Amino acid sequence: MRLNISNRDWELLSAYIDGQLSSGKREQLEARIQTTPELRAALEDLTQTRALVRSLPCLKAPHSFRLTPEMVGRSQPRRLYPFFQFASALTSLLLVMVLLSDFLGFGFPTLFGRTESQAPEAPVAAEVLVESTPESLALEMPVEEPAEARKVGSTEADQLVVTQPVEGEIVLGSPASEPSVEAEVYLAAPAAPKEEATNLSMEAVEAPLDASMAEDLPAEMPAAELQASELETEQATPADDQAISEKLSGIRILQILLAAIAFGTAMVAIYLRRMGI
Amino acid sequence: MDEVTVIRAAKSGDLTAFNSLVLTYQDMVYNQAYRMMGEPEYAADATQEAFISAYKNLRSYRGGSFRAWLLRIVTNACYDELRRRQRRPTTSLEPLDDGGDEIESPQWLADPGETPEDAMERAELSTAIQRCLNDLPSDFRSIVILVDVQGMEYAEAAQAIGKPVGTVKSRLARARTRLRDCLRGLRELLPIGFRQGVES
Repeated sequence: MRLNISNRDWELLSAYIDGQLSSGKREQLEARIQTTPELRAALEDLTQTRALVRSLPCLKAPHSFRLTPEMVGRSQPRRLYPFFQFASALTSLLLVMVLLSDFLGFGFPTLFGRTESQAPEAPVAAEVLVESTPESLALEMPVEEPAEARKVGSTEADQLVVTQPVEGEIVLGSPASEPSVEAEVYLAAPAAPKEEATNLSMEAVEAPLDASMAEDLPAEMPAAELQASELETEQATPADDQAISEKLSGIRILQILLAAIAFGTAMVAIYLRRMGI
Repeated sequence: MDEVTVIRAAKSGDLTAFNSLVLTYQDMVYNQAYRMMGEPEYAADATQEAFISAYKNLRSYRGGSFRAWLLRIVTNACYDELRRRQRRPTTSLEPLDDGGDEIESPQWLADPGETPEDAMERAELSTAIQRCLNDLPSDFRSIVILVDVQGMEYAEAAQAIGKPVGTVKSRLARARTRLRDCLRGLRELLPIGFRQGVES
């Protein structure tokens, strides 16, 4: 039988059979039950349903659920092993990155003290020289403006002297030699005719570059400027060597440190795993 | 030793004291789990998990009804297990209709080709009621088990589910009306007194 009872009335009837209504609500409901057959039928249905559910047997536990120390210990925190495993993996990754950066020669010099003005200069100068042959350099030389050319040449020469040792046998084609050659071309240009400048530039390209070459040019170069340039060359080279060695030692220390941490954490992780911690 | 003293000892890490609480309440907890899950294996797992969880979280017990606190833990463990089973559905033992959907009402238990006596032999009444319980939403099921199976007052049941008493009242009423509808389909399985009442 489908009873037309509101949810509110079902709720009142349910609470009524559980004795959960206040005396006032209970009396009101009892009065309605007396006069409303549907409410009476619903009350009987609910009472029977409740009795059926309450007739379910009380089950005994199939076995004892007492806890053992192992059960309790099993659930204790054992998160040490994953931590060390992660730390070892992370440190190893950092070590690989440092080694790669060291071998490929980028990234870490900035971290270890190379100044912004030193690093980018040489590649730019080298790039310019790669694009233009020695002949074109000489032809493009502003012959009518010797002062400016001399200025540019001396400036680049100074900068390049700081970044690169001049004593070595440097052949054109390697990035280290090109800027110096370029500098000499500019220095020779102001007084020499075009052909002479071209010859000079070709000569400079073929000849090994050393410090004595600077002495072949002084006719056009102011003596004081050349001396200052030489002085800088002599002073800057040891300092640069020292800086490079400091950088290298810093990288080596970092590499050794990372390797030690990676190894140590890996050993701890293996130990913890064996111990089940 | 009274229960408060035992609980205090268990809180300090005394596993023996806690196990005496386990022995006191394990039937009640297992009953709650079984009525919630409907299967003895799952019920046993949920019961064991509930006691382990209770031991680990004993410090969060701040007094009041200890059995309500325990029943809350086991009910939550059952919710978790039911959710896991919903995510990994198993092959249903319930029959499917023409559209391939599971038949929610257990009316299929009453085989029209069998006499009521045969049906009574085949399926116990408690199994039929348990099937009706299984058809209820888990929120309704837990309330009707707490009040009608465990015999709790509304206030204690409210503590066990962490909801106000008003929620207990409304959920219980709705659970009972659904059970009533479900049991109407099982009238052949019901005792004669109940059957007459349903038919009327």
